[in-house]
Amino acid sequence: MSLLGFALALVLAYGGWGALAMAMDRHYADIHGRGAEPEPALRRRMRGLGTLGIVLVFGVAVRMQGWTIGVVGGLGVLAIAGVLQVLSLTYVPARMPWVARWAAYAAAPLAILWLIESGT
Amino acid sequence: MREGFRQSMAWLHTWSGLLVCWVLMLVFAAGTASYFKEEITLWMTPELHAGASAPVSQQVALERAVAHLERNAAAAKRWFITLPTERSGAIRVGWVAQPKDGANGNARSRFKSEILDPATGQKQSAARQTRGGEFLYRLHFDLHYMPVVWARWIVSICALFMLVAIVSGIITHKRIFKDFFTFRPGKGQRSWLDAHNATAVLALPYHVMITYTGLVTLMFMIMPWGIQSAYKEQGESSFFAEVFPTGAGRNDKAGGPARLAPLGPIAQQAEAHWNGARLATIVVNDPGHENASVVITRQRTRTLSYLQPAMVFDGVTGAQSSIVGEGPSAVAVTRGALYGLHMAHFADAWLRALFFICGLSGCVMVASGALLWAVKTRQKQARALAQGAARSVGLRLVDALNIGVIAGLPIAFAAYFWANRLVPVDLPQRPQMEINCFFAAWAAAAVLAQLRPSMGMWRFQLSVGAAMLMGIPLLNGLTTHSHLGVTLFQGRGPWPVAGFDITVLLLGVALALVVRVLYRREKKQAKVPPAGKVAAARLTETA
Repeated sequence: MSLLGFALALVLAYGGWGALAMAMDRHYADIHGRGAEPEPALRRRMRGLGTLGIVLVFGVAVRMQGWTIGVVGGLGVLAIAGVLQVLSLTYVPARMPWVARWAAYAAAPLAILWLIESGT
Repeated sequence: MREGFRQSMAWLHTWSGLLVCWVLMLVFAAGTASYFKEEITLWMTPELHAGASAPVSQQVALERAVAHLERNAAAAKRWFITLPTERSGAIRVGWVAQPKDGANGNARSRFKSEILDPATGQKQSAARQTRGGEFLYRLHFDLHYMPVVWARWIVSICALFMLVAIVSGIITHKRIFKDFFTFRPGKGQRSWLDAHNATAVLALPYHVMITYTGLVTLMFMIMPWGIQSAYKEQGESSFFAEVFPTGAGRNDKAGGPARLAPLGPIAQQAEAHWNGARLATIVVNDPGHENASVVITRQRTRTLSYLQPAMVFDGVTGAQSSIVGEGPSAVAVTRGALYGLHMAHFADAWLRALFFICGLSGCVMVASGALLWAVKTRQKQARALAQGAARSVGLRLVDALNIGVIAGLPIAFAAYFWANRLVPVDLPQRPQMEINCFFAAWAAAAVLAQLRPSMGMWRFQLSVGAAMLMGIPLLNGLTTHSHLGVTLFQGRGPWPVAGFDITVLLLGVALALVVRVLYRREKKQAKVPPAGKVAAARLTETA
């Protein structure tokens, strides 16, 4: 596992968990104030993006380390990103969507650098 | 019926967890540390630090090892050479002397080993005696001060209870998806439950995997009849022969004297066969005789399985004679993969760090579960407690064990590392002395906790643990030349030593933060009059 690959998997996992949390009533209300509920369209979009993020984490991990170890590594990254997400939602809920969005944006350049580094 | 089932599962979860949680805490903590056992051993032998930061190539290391063995053990029955790895730079050589008068005595008593400085090829006589990370690794499943068989039974049974607790916990957890990210701090019982759930659910794949594979590695002890029935025809020994293909290339007769073929080209041949993989160990049987053979194993590469193939060469001609364990049987692969998954030998530094963090989350899960029982039970007794009654015996016992294990273990671990630097280097029985320090510190913490299981004791022991852990990098700076100032800020390594210092520092800081939270809470509660406390307790009870 390289530093770039690890960072890429981590931002994808953090962003993915963040999107999934945004689609949940409690965390949406934590972010946007009491009683707020996500629109059905937003909820669907966030669920889709979140799932995509999680799948991409496994994609990155498996490409780096193969089917056996990659899956183990992907689960490990997801666990750490999950803990970070829990802490974000608890202590800085209003800022979480911003961080998650930029984590998702950062994934693109990281992915390019990672692909160059590991030789496509 | 549905509700009843869930409730009975909750009961099972509570009691299966509580019964074994203190042993599990030790097993989790020692096991988590064992992911870095080689790094810990390196940290605990500061005499080897200089060699570790200037690694030499395998060819050079091999030449030096052979030269040393030819000088000191030319007449030995068998040589063992362990080449430097990415994780430890030292060369280890060992040999078994010829049995005297042809008697087939105990080979272990004739075995000698030495560590060589890779830079000079000379014996590292100055390296201090320590069991290092190996002690923590053994503690993880052999415990200490008791027969190994008993210890493994105890650990196996605890692991079995852990598996029961995991499964019943999943069933009991009604809101596994709704509460996926939920943590509500400062709310007493609710916060502990959230912390327990979060650390359990987020690392659930890890917890299931580590408990299950841990059971499998101990399965020879728990379910021998499974193996006996599956291997009835060939007998149990064939299973072991299939799983551990060792002892290859051994010959009963050594034959007449003959010159040993140069090992360099043989090693190159093996390297080429394995596509340039680094070599791990080289065993030479009967060096200097006609029937000499050379057995070479590869370093554990990035495959899940623990098993690695070996190549056997003729020790006189240098020709390859056979390969063992390449394309191992399905039984061996399955067991090897489960075993390897548990030991994480396949993992590189990144993945090992992930495992380490998941292990820490396991420690937090076990600790928060144990605390949760105490918090819940205290709430049940809230009214009696407010009227000045004493805690029930069970609650007092659990409180005391919680302090002694959860706050006491960091003290014990830190004491082990402190002892490594402070116990005189030339003391006889030095490794045992370090281990005694571990248990003496832990016993002191446990006894104090039994005498006074109070909030003050929590704060005291957690503060001591935090101070001792944070003091380790300082101690390392005062007693060695490879402190953080050199390893990190001058960038000279060895990196494992820097990593160790930083990790214990961070763990100490984490404990210090817990202490700060406890102090703040104490201050807050001091302001609330006792009547309010009862009302608050009642409120949380109804909520």
